[in-house]
Amino acid sequence: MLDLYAHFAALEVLRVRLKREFVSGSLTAASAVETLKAIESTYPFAVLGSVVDHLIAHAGPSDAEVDRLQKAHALAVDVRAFLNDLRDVRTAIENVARNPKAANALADYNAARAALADLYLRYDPLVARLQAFVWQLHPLRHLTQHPVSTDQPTGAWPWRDLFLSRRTGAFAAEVMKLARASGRPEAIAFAFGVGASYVGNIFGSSYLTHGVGGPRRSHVYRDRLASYSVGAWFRHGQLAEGADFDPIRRVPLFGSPQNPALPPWLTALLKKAFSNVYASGDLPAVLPDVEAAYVQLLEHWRLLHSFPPLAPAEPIDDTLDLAIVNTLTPQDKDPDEPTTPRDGPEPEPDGPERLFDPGPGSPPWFMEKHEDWLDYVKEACLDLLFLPIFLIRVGFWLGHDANENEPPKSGGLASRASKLSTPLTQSEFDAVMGGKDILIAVVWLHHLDAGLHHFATACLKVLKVVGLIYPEREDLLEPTYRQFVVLPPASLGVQWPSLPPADPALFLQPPAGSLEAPATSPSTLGPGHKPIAFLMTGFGGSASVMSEGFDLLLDELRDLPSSPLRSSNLNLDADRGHLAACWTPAAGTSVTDNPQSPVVLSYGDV
Amino acid sequence: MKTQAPEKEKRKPDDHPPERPPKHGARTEDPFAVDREPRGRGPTDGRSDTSTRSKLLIPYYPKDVGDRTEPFPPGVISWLCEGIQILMPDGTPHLGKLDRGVTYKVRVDVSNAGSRLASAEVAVYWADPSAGFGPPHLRRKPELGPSRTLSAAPGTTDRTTTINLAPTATTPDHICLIAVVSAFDDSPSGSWNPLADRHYAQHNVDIVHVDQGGIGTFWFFATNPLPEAATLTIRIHPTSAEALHTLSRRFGADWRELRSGAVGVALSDRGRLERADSELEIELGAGERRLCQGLVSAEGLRRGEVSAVTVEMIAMPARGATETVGRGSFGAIVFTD
Repeated sequence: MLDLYAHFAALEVLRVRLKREFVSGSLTAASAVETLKAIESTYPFAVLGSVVDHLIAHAGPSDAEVDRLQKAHALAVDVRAFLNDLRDVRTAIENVARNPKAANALADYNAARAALADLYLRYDPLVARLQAFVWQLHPLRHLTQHPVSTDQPTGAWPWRDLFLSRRTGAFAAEVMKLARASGRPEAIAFAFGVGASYVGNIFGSSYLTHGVGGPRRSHVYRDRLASYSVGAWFRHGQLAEGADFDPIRRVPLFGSPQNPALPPWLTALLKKAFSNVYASGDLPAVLPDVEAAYVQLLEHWRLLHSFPPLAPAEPIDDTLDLAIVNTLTPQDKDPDEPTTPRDGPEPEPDGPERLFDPGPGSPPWFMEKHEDWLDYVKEACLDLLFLPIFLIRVGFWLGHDANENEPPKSGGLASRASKLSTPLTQSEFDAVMGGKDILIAVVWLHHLDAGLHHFATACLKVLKVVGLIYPEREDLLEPTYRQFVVLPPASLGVQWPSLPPADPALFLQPPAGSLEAPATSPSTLGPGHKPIAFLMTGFGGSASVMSEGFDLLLDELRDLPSSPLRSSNLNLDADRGHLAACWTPAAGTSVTDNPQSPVVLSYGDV
Repeated sequence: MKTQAPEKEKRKPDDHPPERPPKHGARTEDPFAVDREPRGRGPTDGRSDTSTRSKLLIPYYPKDVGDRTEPFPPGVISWLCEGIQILMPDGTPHLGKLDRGVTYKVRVDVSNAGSRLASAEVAVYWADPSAGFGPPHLRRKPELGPSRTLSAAPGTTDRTTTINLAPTATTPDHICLIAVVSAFDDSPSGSWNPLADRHYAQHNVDIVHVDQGGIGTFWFFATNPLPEAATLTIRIHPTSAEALHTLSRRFGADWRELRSGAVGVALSDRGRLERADSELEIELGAGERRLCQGLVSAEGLRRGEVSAVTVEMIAMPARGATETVGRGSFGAIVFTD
């Protein structure tokens, strides 16, 4: 199942192809022309159709995910506010340090000290909330595994998985039929979007599972990481450059911004499509609540885009920096530093780690040491150990008792806060400004700013690796994400389809366990191929959305009975490889059997 | 002796310069311009540290991964880092005397040979020509602009935005630039030693024009970079053939290696020049410096040929500790007119 951005890209490609066929005169069927006009005049409905799988996913299994994101967002707002307030303190202190003779210097300085004391008091409660959040994440439960993996009957499945694994082509064809019958351009555009979603999933999921090493039902978190990495790749590309339309790459909002709602005709159309397509068999008791799902989808979209990267710490003011480099020695800044600077950086590891260094010329697919997502949490926790030390050091150098020679190595922030909020006298202030103390404080403020930024970035990284938010463009170069946007070479020995890992937390590395039988092939793609390869021909893949995918939709666009959507249902997770049909374990067997006994479902089967 | 065309553009340690991402497989007839290749493979050509942190460096040469435990490879010039470029206002690379009234642009390459994205901070300082750097001799304003920050992705080399360099009436004709890259989890050692710490790099060179067969001189400071008294050993020698080959590509000139006896160094004490030799030893306090003069004989150099002299400095703590030494280097490029 593709992410939102990859779906938008698939829709854009199919729209361009449809227009091209029309302009060239090779596609003249009235229904196809009508579809093109509908898309061009009511594109937002096509966009919503292209993410219909996500709409349906929000009728149930995404609730836990949205809940976690809401909590994470509230925390992110507070962390950002903490960082911004610290930066205000830093600016104020640097201003005073640059011009300590200014009329209001003492007052500004004391105000900055008081503001820092307030941050001392806010720190521990903020950390406690962050820790509580991590405990809510652990063990990971926010993504719902495909229930087929535990042999649950289809009647117990969420609609998302039913939609992706049962009567898939039939649903896309039914929506198109109902849209045509309604005569609404918006409905026809929506139906085209649903077709694009179908095609996008067929071709895109095989790319995803190739990078993952197995199907979504076996690797739910790894699949999400792949899906968001590929989505981020498309998000930061310029796919539609040169196309004759302005692409929409967001979930369109219908209704009032305060009270968004699907148009009633669309709700009715979807309900009718569901009841017609999923009319018999072992089915959930109620149809999906698409109205509530739409509101939830919009909320999820909002949350996904509510974690922008934080700006790094600004360098120290130029004048102060020069004074610092020419005045302070490393042991001025940190009494624990050796009395002479180290001759060069830390020695490079020369132990067993080197054994795994692939060396020059090796491909960049090898992994970091991180195997467990909790390693990212640990990394953030290391920052948490250092930040209070930095806070205390800043406060110390901004004005300390005469009997204190160096910052305390321990002690609570709360006890130091009251001392910090006590205003300095003019003579105390002059003493700080007249010596090295103020420069050391400026250095530690910069460390604190950079450290908080590092910590906040580490927290965002945790959200990224557990698949709650998208990686940024720069993140894609890290092996954790890159493995999903550059298919691995055979030399890495990644095999397909891998069984679920013994430890579900170890999803960052390619699965190394046993293989599922019977063996299948994930995709038509090869080593080094990037996501563009499944979208467009000419980038390495032998089949793409733009060519074979469009052909798959062509007869449906022409409203011909020969439309493949009216005779076959392909698995939208590419569960058993590229173009694999919807299937079920043979009666009396389990999906956990190895070898499995898959049986392809008939067109009408659920 | 070989001559090559001048290198018009600095060769990046990556086949795909970051500022222009490659368009793999993009076809002109296609309606879509594909620009979504994550920035190109980096300084490591696929190799990377197996640790989980960033590993920042200012690259001295293509595929530099910041290993400073070994000497630079042959042909790499310790006093002329390729990762620091001084440009004329029109973008032409500049090397040599700075003209007043001209605002030059300085840019610095930053590589990340680690496996983590880093918020890198790059500061550039200037100093009098020196073998060895350290406080209190580092300068910035008003000649140089402020620090720059950039996001350094793992396995890539990126370049800072340009920093203005505007010599004033009091700025020496020749100055050295020292660039420092740092990040929260990857900080420099404080040694100001580009030869041993990948976070530092220097552009530390004088240009000497000598009449054919004549003798040229150049001045520099021997600076104790240690925060304690030290014995400094200053050695001067002709620059190696491999390094001259590098220089000849830069200048588009033939090169010739100087005779070992053609160079000398002497202390200049209150204007009185001591006897020049290939090596001298001086005691200096923390951060103290002494003016030295280098001498070079152009004997054997033909008109238009380029050669160079390398000065190396080693500072040993006077108290006898041997685990910490300061090092520095300086270069003079010699042209025969």
